[in-house]
Amino acid sequence: MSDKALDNIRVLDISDDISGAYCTKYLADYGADVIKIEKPNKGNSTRHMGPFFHDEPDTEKSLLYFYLNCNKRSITLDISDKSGQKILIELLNNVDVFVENFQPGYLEEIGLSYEELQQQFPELIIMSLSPFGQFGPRSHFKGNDLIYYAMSGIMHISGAYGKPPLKHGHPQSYYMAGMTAAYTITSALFSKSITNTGQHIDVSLQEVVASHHYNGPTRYTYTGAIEARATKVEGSSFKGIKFEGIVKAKDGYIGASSQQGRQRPLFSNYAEMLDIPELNDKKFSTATDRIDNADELDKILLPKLEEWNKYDYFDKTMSDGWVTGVVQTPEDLLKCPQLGDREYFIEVEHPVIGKITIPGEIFKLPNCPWQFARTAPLLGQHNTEIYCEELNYSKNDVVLLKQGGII
Amino acid sequence: MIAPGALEDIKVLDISQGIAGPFAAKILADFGADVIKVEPLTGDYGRTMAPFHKDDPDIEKSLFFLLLNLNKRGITLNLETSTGQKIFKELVAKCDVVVESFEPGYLDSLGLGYAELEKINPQIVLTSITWFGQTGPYSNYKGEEIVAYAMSGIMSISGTADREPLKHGGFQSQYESGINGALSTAFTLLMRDFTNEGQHVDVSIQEVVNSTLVVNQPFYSWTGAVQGRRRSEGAGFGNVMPCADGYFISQPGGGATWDDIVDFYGDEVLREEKFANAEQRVQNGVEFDQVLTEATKDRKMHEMFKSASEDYRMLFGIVQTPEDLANCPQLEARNFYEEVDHPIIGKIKVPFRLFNMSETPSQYRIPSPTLGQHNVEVYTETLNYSKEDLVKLRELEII
Amino acid sequence: MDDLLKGLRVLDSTTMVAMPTATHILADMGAEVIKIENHTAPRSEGGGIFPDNKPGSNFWNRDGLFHTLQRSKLDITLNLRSDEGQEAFKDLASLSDVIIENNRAGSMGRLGLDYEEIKKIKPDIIYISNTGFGYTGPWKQYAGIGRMFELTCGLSQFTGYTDEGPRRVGAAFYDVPVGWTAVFAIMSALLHRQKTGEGQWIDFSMYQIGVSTIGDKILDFVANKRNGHVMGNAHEYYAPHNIYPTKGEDKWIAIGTENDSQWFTLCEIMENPEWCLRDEFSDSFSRHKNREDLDLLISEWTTSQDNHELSDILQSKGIPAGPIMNSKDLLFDQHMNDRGFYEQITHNSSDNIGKQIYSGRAWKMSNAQSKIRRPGPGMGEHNEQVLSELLGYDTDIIDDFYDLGIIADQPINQRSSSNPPSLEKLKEDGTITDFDTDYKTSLGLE
Repeated sequence: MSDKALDNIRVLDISDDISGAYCTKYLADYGADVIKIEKPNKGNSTRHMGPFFHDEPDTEKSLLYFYLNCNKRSITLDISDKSGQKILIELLNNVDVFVENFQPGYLEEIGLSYEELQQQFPELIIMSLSPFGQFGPRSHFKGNDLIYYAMSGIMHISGAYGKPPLKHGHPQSYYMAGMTAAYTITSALFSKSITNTGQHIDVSLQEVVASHHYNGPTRYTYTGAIEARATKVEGSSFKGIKFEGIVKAKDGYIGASSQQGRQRPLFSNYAEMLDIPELNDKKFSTATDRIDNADELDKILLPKLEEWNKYDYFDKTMSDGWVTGVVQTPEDLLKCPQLGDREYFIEVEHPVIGKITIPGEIFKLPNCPWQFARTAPLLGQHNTEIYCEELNYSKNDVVLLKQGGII
Repeated sequence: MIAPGALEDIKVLDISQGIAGPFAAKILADFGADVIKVEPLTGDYGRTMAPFHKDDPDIEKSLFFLLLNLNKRGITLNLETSTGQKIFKELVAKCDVVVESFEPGYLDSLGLGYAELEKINPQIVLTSITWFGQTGPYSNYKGEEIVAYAMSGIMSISGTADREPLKHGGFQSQYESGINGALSTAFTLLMRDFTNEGQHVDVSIQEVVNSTLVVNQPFYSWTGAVQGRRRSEGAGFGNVMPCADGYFISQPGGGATWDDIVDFYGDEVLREEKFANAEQRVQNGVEFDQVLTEATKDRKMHEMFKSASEDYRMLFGIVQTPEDLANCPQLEARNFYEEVDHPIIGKIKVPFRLFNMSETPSQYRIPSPTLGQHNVEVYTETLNYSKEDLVKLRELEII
Repeated sequence: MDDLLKGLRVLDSTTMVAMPTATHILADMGAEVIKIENHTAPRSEGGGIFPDNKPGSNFWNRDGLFHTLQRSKLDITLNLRSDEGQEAFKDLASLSDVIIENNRAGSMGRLGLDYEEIKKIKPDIIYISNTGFGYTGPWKQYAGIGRMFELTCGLSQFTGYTDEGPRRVGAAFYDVPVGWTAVFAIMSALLHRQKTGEGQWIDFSMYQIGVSTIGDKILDFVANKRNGHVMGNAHEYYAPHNIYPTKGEDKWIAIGTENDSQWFTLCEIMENPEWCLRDEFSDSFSRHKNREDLDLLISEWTTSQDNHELSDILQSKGIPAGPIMNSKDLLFDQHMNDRGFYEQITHNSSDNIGKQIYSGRAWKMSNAQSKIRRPGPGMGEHNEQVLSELLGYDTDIIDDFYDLGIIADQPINQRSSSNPPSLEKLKEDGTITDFDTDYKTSLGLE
């Protein structure tokens, strides 16, 4: 009886960025055997990105790398070398999924085109992540998180009226692309179990971010209207999407309210809940009234909101059936009673970092649950295991390969 | 108590890689210099040299690297970036010596050649160890151990006449060059005490090996003769010979008379006229070889060595294996080995003492560094970077 | 080319955005998705975007956001508070592989339609319940909304202008990724079912999925006691790496250099102004330290440039760059169109929408076709097809169902949609920047 959803799936992950790593984290966390291929002596670039444990920049102390790569094994291999390419083919003989994020055209350049790979391994699922996709006029363009946000339509509508466009302060595009890759891979795996057909999956990171703004195109295709960054009026006023701004509470920030939600509580209930009788004034009674008198509404409402502690406000309003938000810091998240009750955080041990608390279960899958099976690998930690035990190289071969810079 | 180091006040930046440069810098470190090994982000390529501890090819487990880099602190720095070059110059301003082994012209191309370094620190000593030196038509030729032997003249006289030339096993040319690098640096530092100026020291590995042929070079310049390789048979003591458990070599002289030597080998035929002098031993070489081989076929090499040296005062050598060397009573008595405790490899005995000095002996202080081990220490203490700066520098791939 | 998910049947009892995103992707990939609507409640996915800004009489079938999210699916109505509705649901469940619902924790249980009940009929059912914060815990009854999750999941802590507090982005960001993760969860459960024959109940918390994307920031607190701060658009260690104003109103370019070589190339393209040689910009570490000055100087140059042209020039020299694009730019973009990101379909004539264009998916597969299968359905459009063909109910029963209000083909108690503000009013209050009148012709919709 297997108790991990993907435990009969083997993944070779030669990607070298956050998106490939987050994709295979999803797979590894739910049981897949993920083998990372990293550059000899250097490893993935994420090993050199912060935050670092105690700000000590070391190949084994990147907390970003650590978070992304628990449950995976690591080998080193240089595929720009002919010997390395040969070894890659040997490795591919025995895997279900191959994840890569090379510049489109690179694999073909070194004699490993997708056509050839698909011919040699007809059931293989190849996941190719790239900035703008494998084909199209921009397919050779370079990209990064800022560029994807810029070209997604999201930046244009984010920020304040009259101020520059704004992106998230955390490179979400890579995480989103990782999720896209994970769900398309598992869909292809499910299909393959019936049809025995492999796939080459082409994911464009720019399209991934553009997909978040699903209603952007609709406003134009239905009415010819081009959306703006934000209306001229901001703050807490209750009107539609643009007014769900973030406002000050006594000890932080809150999202005062959302107009959406299935219950759509009445504004008069809101006035009662916050004990602000002035809000019952006629000039605030309908949604249009509230936008027309937004400045006045804010003058009354915002100072009152600032008297609330953020969690008192959040808990009261949410319990009463409103939909509000609270700006949580990492510290807040670690203390969150909901995440605590769900046992979301777990303590693990890393050979260099030591004992540390990390985010855990992404979602519940009770019969084949999320797992923590091993900590993030040291660079090339599994070279001997995989090259000697699985591929039949001798220990001496492995030494020679190291000296030759192949691994 | 730790005795003072001869080079205690000297600060060295070792940006060399491989064998020769690192060995030179290690010798300086052994005698007290504060040596900071500066590696590229992927490490000195010497970290990929076998043997590895327990055959585990890991950049922290190369025993070769361990040996060549004891007593040094280690930082990483990417000299190919503008920021890296800037930081390197900040370090140079605070140091006395830079040891490097890059291809001639490379440091110049980065704006870090001697002319530039001199401007920052007129007292800096730049010791460059390369295959063919900084100047001349071969200076940019690629070198390797075998090329150095070939071009130095030593290969043409090594091996036997009936076969191809033979190179030394191992990496002698680079070790010798390391020693030359250390000694020339020490001379230059001494000179600097008088002149208050640094210099550019230019060591060529080809020349180092060539300079060991002091006995052989004059053959041509004095007599017009070209020395060749020995005959394989009948070289009259010239070649290594087999015995019961190994190989030995000996020659006349050293205080032993011919009679002593004959007694040692124990075959009276050697007292005959035909073996009385060197010329005759060559003329009757084939027979001579046979007699010696027969005489020693059942004798063990350590026994022969002891007997030849103590009882007969002969010049005698045996081909010792690494195991022999590790157990050698002479080396033990001389404290030749040191026990090193490396954070990844653990405790291990390493060859250490080149020579003794009574007041300022060489000392083992710290093991070879793990990659970037002393980044925080060096960059925050010697230069003024904060820990947050170092995180950014790592993310920018500078350190 | 085969459909990836041919033969898979999904019951979609969801509303809002996150789960409908999951189900439209499953449907685009070829699964049969049966949307089960509640005709006694308004359609929650509507956003008030109607063709030519006119709701029309059957406005519930003419909302652009509804159609974006609900395309490719079959649609039936069921009053799940009725016994007959519940029976019909169970009958459908017995023929389905997957059930997805996103009601408040416990609602399906009260209707006798939760996992434990359905498992009795279909033991290997895969049943996914999506809630804001999960089915258990002190917040289990709290409602979740994509727009609020950026705050609660911790992303807003790092987002905003550097001279202000935290902000959200203009789109409801976390809805879509939760939908994607749901597809992953369903596929994983299906793969498990293939090995073991077991179904299971998936308790999906939008909150945890969002929090998982900022794991590195959480670890920064765990290890280094840092909570982070807003960054504007700047990069943590690269510079120049920001957006810069270009020619025209509200036109910008993003330039994201990552190394010395790209910086030198950028200087060349700017024709090497003397300030490029200043010491404070001469190496990457210093450039980041002095990025505010650097960005100002670059802005002075970019204001005279066209953002699209300049992006192409920079990219041709290997510098990551791109214009800030709005939705109209994207619709007409050559690259997006060459890749077939947008798909054109024709709506049911009764909805009076005609041809329309919708975003496809952010990926292509070599050996399987995924595409929009049919336009967003009318309410109860497939009542007959599903109930009679699939469940074998005869016409009398179906007629009774209509009479009893178990099923319907239009909403009851739906308040009439007020006319949306005119485009002129929206332009005036800043909701839109402008509008085109010839949009249908330029998009090829007529």
